[in-house]
Amino acid sequence: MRRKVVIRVLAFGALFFAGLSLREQFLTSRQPQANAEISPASAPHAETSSPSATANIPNPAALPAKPSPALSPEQKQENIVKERERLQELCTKDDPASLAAILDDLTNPEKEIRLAAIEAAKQFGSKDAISALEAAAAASQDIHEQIAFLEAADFLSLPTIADPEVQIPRTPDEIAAAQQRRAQLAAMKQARLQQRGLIQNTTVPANAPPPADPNAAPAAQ
Amino acid sequence: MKVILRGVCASVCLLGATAAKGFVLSYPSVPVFFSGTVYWISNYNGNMNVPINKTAFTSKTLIALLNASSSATNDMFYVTGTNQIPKGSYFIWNPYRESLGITNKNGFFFPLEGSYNIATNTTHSYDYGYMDVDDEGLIGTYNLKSSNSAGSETDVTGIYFYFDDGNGNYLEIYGTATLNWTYGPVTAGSQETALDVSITGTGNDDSEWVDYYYAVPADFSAHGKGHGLESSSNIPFFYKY
Repeated sequence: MRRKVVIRVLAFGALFFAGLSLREQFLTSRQPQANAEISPASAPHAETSSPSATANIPNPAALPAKPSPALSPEQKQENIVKERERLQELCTKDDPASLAAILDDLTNPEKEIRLAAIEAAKQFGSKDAISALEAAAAASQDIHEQIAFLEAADFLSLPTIADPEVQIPRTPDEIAAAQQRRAQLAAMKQARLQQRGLIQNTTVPANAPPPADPNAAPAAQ
Repeated sequence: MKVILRGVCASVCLLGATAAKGFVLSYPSVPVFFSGTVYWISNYNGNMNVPINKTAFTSKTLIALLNASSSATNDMFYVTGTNQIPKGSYFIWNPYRESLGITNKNGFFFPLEGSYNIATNTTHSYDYGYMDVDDEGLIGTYNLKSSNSAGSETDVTGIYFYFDDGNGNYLEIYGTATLNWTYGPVTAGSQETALDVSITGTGNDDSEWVDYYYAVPADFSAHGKGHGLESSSNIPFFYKY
């Protein structure tokens, strides 16, 4: 009889402690979820650790760029004017950075700016621009722009009027001789013009009527 | 009359320049950038097989020619206090006075024609360039709002460009200019005005030189934009000029 009671008590005790252990495990496993629910701010960190969660966060690089607000025609024109003025200033300089900025505008979306950049490249005067102009001509779909690009490239390939090979110093005698030649040619031209004037004053047209005879009797009425 | 008037105006500008070195003409002098090509031959003796050369010029190279001319640098020194046009300088054109000058952002200004006293009762005149507008061949069309006189104008005219560095390089070129004016609303008798200049030409006057050799201009162009305050009494330009 006593043995049976002891066995029952021991069995009941074992069950009791097993139940306590299970309860403890149950409570411990729920805590992380409870924390995540309480602090939503930490949820993204928890989610990023999960492969499935990363797929839900949009990659900023993959997002389509927000369209910039459309410019009014007046704002667009103002931008064009400002860029043309900037090119006008850049072409007076002679540093590589200014040339690079000019050549950058050879492919500007605005045609007016591209044409201004062509002129600025010519004014800048560097043969380093030739290849960029030729490349822009090859890439252009506009025949008139292609011509403008290539003409500018040809222009830059020429020697300039100020090159040392062109401006060879002259001796005083050479200068005097050149001025004398010019004065002689000017005098000859003046004489030709005067002669032409005299001829024009006396030449009679081929089909002109003969001059009236001042002594002839007046025609009958 | 135009030559005398230009001389008077240039002298007035010069007085301004010498009285306050660094004076820069304000609008309506607009920046203008020249370019062109010239054929020339280094021979006047009728020798055989002498090549015809082609060279290019721009505003920068014309300025380089002036800087290499003892005549121009001497006059420049009397007028500006320096005998070299600084880097970064550019031409400006006043269509009303038909005058050309060279200026920069730092206050340098050299009018291409003018005169100055070198001694008591002794005046020295110089003339290195100008750009004339035709008096009669100047046609235009314009439209101004009745409410505030804002509007625009387009003129077409003949021009005559003259450049002589005093050192054997001489250009006289005829061309056609298109002047596009944009006028803001009138305020106290003046209007904010923008002028866009576009010039092309090929005609010449039979007396060009490159390094004292005969030359023939092949093509010529000039472009530029400027803005400033314009008196309403000068609008439209083609009619009031």
